[in-house]
Amino acid sequence: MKKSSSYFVVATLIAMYAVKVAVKIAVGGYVHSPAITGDGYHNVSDIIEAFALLFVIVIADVERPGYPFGLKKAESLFALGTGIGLSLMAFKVAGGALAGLIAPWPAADGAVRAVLPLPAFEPLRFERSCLPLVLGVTVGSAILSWFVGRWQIRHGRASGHEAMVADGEETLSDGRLEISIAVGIGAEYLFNAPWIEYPLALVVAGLVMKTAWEIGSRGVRSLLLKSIGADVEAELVAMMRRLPGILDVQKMRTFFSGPTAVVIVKVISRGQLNAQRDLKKGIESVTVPVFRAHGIGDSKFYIRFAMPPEDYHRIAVAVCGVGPTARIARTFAEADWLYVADVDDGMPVRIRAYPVPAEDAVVTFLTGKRVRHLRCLEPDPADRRLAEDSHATLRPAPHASLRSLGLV
Amino acid sequence: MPDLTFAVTYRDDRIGRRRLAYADDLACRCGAELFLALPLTSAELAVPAAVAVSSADSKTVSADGDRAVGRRDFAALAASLHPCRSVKIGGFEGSRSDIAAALAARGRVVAVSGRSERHFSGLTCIYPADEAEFTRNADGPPRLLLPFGTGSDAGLALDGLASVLGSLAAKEAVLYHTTWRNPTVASDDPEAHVCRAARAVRLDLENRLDRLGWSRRTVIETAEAVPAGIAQRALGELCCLICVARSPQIIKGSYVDELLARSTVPLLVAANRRLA
Repeated sequence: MKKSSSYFVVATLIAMYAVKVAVKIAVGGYVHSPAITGDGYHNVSDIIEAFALLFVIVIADVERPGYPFGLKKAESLFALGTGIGLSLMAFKVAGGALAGLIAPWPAADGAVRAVLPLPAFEPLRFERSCLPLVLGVTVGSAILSWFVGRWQIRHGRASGHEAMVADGEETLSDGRLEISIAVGIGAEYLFNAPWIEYPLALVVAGLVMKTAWEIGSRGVRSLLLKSIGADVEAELVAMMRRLPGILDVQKMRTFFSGPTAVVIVKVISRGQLNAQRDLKKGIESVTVPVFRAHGIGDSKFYIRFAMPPEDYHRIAVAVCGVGPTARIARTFAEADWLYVADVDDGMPVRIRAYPVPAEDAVVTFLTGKRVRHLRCLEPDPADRRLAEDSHATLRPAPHASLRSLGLV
Repeated sequence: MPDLTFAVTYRDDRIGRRRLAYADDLACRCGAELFLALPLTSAELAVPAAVAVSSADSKTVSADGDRAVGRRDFAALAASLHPCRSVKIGGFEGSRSDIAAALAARGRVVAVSGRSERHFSGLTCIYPADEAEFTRNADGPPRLLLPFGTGSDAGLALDGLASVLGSLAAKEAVLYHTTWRNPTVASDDPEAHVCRAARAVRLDLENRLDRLGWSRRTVIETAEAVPAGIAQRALGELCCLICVARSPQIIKGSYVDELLARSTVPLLVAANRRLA
């Protein structure tokens, strides 16, 4: 899908909202309808979001020198600004609605105006001749929202732009709001009850405030690098631990960069380079359902692979015989040699054979070599004393073959 | 004589313990016998036998063809590495050829092995990578990846798989194929680019799986390289086993060897009698 077609979709979106804003504010102002005017202000935020979407498509996806996570956070700045602006508009609409509600009671009106800076009340222009204009604006706007929203979602899915899909879903929800306003206005005329306008406008103000909160908090959450959620992180860790080759998942840090969930994590694995590449792709694949279940469309992983914690230590094995006939001795007293093996991650990596020191020098030898474990075939009490004196543990070897301990 | 045996080399180190745990888990799931192989050199065999240790609570000791050099109680030997749950634990200590002969007398034998172990050559082998259990996914049937191309090796792999895991109650097979883009085909759907020979192999495998009563899915995609595609798809599908067989036509650079080197998902390599 060409990028230019995405630009066309966004340009159409901006044009649609610009027309809506102009028409709704003009018509709402003409008929003194705070509900319609409030919806027009709501569409101002949609224009700002459309520009933010354009920014994401044009610039934010590309990593730039000095900006390792790209410029997606700019979208969060837009979101914060939109949230603040929408809140102010919501208060303006609510003020107009409240003024209309209390206008019939001058005493109440005076009391409220002493506390709150309400706008001057302008009665609703409630003439039958206005009905086609008002219904035309609201219903027409809703129909436009439905078609454009579905187009956005279809295009966003085809082009892989999750932000466009999310914006399309918001356009559809705008359409539902516009239909609600149309129904409310219809009820005003049907029941000859212009007072319905003002509770309706309060509902619109509430919905605008809700949108402001959602958009603004999304922006704040992203700017403050808030985690994507402990429950989401727990599910991600559980899913990653299901992959063969992953021993542990540690130090997960998550945050949003714009709409993208960024996951920084340390994975413990013994896999080498190719295996690490495969695991990274596997992680990105198996975690998609987790993100989708939590409404997150886009994600990016930064994975650091590490080996299991080092447990480098030494063992000493009692050995009798030489060459091919060498085997694990029954006790340390019967041993001709001490095989001192360096063990790394559970595997002997270096083995050196020492002649058994004199009886009174064995403990000094073992402690000098910092041996942690002693092994022989059938330890006796003397071997247990040796282990205690050497500050080592004693473990019987189940089989006499050196091969069984990985010593050949 | 046991119907199915999982053989593993006794090694008292991290790799040996994990392999034994894997073999034990698989043996329990399949109701099979666990067999400990202790390969010894001729010099080691010439050493007089040490006193065998008796274990009061030892499990069944396999008596056919066993010779004791160190210990005879294979259940105790296994328990020294890992708390095995297998009901039947047998073993054999001796030269590589004697071990191979002892295994050959045992019906169906599957080795749980490392790449360097020669005494299991000619057998169907499972290379468990770094895994200590058959599957990490307790909430669903084990999922097995069966890559296929245009040759008969996928069919061999399925034969090997069915002989090993046929007794498991539920399992799911994921048939996997990577294809190059056919420039004469306009579609973006990878299935449209699959060649005729691969389509025939796919159909054959699907029919065989249906006859076996296994649930199955088929995934076709375009991948940069076949081994990478197989390894990554196995991880992406949360598969616990990749099932392959060596193609007799490959002279060098078998995908099986590449997968052995890179895959963190255990690999089942079916025995190919034609190569023996």
